[in-house]
Amino acid sequence: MLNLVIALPGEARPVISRLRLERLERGAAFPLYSGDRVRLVVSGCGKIAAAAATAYLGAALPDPRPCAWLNLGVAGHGSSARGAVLLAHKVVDRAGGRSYYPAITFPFPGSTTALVTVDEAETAYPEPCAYDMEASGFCAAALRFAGAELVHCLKIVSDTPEDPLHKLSRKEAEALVQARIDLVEQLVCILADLGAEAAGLERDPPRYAEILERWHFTASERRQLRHLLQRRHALSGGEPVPQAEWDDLKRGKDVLIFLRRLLDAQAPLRF
Amino acid sequence: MFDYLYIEEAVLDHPRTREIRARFPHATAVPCRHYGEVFNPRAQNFRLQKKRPALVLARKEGRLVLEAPPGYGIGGERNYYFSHMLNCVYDCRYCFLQGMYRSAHMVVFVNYEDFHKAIAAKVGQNEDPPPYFFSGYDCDSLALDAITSFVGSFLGFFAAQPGARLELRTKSVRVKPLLQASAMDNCIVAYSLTPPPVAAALEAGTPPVGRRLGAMRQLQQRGWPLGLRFDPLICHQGWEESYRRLFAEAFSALDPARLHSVSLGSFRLPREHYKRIFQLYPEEKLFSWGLEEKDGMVSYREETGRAMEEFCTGELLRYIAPEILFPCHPGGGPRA
Repeated sequence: MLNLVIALPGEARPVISRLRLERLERGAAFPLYSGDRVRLVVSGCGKIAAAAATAYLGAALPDPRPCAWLNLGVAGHGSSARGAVLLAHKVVDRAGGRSYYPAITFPFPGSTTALVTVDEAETAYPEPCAYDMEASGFCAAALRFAGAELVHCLKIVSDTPEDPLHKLSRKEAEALVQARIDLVEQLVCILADLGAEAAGLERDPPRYAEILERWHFTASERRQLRHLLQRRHALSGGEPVPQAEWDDLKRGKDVLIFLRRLLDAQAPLRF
Repeated sequence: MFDYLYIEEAVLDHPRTREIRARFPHATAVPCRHYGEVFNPRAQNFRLQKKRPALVLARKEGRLVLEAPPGYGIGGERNYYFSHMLNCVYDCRYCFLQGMYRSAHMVVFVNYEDFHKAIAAKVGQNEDPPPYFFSGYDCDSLALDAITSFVGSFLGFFAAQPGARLELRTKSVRVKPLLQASAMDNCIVAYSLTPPPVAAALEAGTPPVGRRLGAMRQLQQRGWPLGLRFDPLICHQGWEESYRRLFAEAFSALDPARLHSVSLGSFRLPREHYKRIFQLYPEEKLFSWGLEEKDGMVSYREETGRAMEEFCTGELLRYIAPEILFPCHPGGGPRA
């Protein structure tokens, strides 16, 4: 699963259209969209809005397991050409001085950049890096929900010293995203897969929920149960315990004893 | 090999940084204030990062040489370790390093000369008997040497420190820098070995055991003191025969009389480490079979661990003198 955080409706429109996202409940604090493996929130401008929208989307997720996060939008750049698509390898909050380092563990079919988040639009472009107004807020919030491998920022260069910001219209910003939508979609797929992989690592073992419903376990026993079922799953290659063998068990404690015995009886590993 | 190099601003112009950067002309260099900004944040997943780790170049500060944990020795009374690197290019599932750090990026501390000074200070304090310095505690000593030039720098230093001993612990067969140098009595090249089927299943990215033995043979022929590390011993079906064969293969390739030391210890991890590794690799059978927790350590059930250590000790003593055999006691986990 991937969560997209986009500042402006115009930047979001090409993505919503390409990924066939549907608007969720109206009247929510932020416009939310959802589709196959992707959710999208339109945050509004600025790092506080980005952090708030990210937290809003994170808190609204039905599944607490990690998923990927992407902040997409247009940005200024001190040296790249207009229309260039850049993944951030470092995000710096200019006002606070804090830096974030997204871990790029996948082959990205484009270039990367340092990205500086500013509170007021940058028009002097003093460094050969990207400038936006959301990424640091997004990172600060998204890293509460996922690791550095899963939190990324993709920027499309909209303004440069040669093409200054005051000449950029909202329509043009939308057109820039539209022009690069194939690459955006490619990254969306990569990150959604990565999110699914991360979530898979935290998946409950088979029958865990079913056992919890049938027998009572203390919090400590629940942890033991999860660990025992994971071990059983690893050693049996996913083969479930036959139903008949559970049926006589009276208490949660009996289930734990039964599972321990089952594991103790397993033959040593074969290499 | 590395697409991203995170470089501390303080070492951007360090000569060793420049050398390493030159080896990766297409990598993106990302400056950072302190390597901990990249390496230490809680929100990281070691397993996901391990697929494509980055290289971090930094300066090591604070205590550069530390006392080794009890049970880590190979005959010395004072044992120290130092870490010019954190993490390893290999991906050995049982390795202590799997759960050690949140990040899988590889950190190289480029200020080797500061390590030299810190080691020299310890040597000065302990003239007799000679202290041992272990370099493969938080990394493989040789695996990245083509990039780090660690061996050349530290051999030169230890050549001038006859009162100190250096252990290079490795699974790497990149021994060219050692073969090109004169053998040093105070530098032990120690190889970690497991039976080939175990190595194939659990030691991703490492050279096959046969190639490691080939490299060892070359080193021994050139006069380098060698160590054999059978740590961890991994229990599996037919383990007696596997280990018997492994020892026979090792001692047919090497002259046991010229070995410096042999050590062994069954698979074990501190409890908190075990929890972290299990979370990272819940599907890994190694962490699910036959383990129990005792005194803060997770290891094979006592009878299994004891049987393996006794059997392997007996087999090893068919080849080597008891004076050079060192059991590894619980307290640290298996490395390299």
